[in-house]
Amino acid sequence: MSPTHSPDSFDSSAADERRATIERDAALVRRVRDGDTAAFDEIVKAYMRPVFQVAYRVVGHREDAEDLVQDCFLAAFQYLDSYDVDRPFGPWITRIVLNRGANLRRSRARRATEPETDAVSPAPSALDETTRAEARAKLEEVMATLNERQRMIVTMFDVDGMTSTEIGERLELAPGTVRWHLHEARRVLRAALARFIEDEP
Amino acid sequence: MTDLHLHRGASAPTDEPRRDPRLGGLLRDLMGPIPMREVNWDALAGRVSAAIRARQTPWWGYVDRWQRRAIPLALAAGLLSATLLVHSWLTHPEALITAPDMVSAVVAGAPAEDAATFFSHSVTSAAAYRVDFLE
Repeated sequence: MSPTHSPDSFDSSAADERRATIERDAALVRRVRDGDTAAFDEIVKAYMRPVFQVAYRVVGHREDAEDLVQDCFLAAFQYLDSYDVDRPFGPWITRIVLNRGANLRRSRARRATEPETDAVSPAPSALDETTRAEARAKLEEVMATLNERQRMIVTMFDVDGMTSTEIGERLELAPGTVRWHLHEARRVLRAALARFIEDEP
Repeated sequence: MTDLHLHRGASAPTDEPRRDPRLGGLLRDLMGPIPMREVNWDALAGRVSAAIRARQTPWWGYVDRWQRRAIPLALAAGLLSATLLVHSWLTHPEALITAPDMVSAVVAGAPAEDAATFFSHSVTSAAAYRVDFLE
């Protein structure tokens, strides 16, 4: 086995990468605080995609997600003085997305439940349209009973295929905490969606 | 790294939760994928950047913001000043000639005493005129 492929070296390499990212972001944030607005453009470019992913999962609509991305970067810029440069920037802005997204979703609840017309087509469904609409309504209802963190964790894990470690890094949570929230969210979802899950072949 | 570490790493039970294909499949079906390809990333970055620059207010931004109110206010103030000035000239016509005549006397080389006398005379006349006017 090559030393470069051992689990320890992967951990070490990931830790180095995280450290480098924190240092890069800290340098950019310091430049912004010194009045160099262009440095914030670099931050936007670096985090735009992951922020959009979270925003889309929160509001469920592409245009709303884009608006939310813009709103969150503006908020981040405005409150940049409160950001601790020794911590990763990603989880900080993700928290902003979750907080602001929850408000946006509540205010646009009706639009968010409508299916995305310009999104990439989902895989062919085993459910007929009526059952699918029912299942979507039920999902919306039960998702509303979960807290923002549980909703995001179960979506990232079961829909987007992320690992608990990746989710933990994204949300700055311990993997154990992620797994606990995932367990709770799945328990609620399984109970509420049992009929639709059993209907699937 | 030792073999012991490798052995432990390879055989340790993972804490990663198992995938649930039925629940995951249903959720994916209902939520759909994230439309990453549908987003114009350059345009979005441009929007964010423009919004941030618009949020910052340079000094000319304040001028720009206040010009709609400031211009009518300045015009009104100018009009009021002109009206008061005209009114002042109409009610005290002698005031118009006081200052220029005194200046011309001084410039023409009149002795300082004469200029002072002329000035006091002008002031006295204006005062007398005013008393007459009021009476």
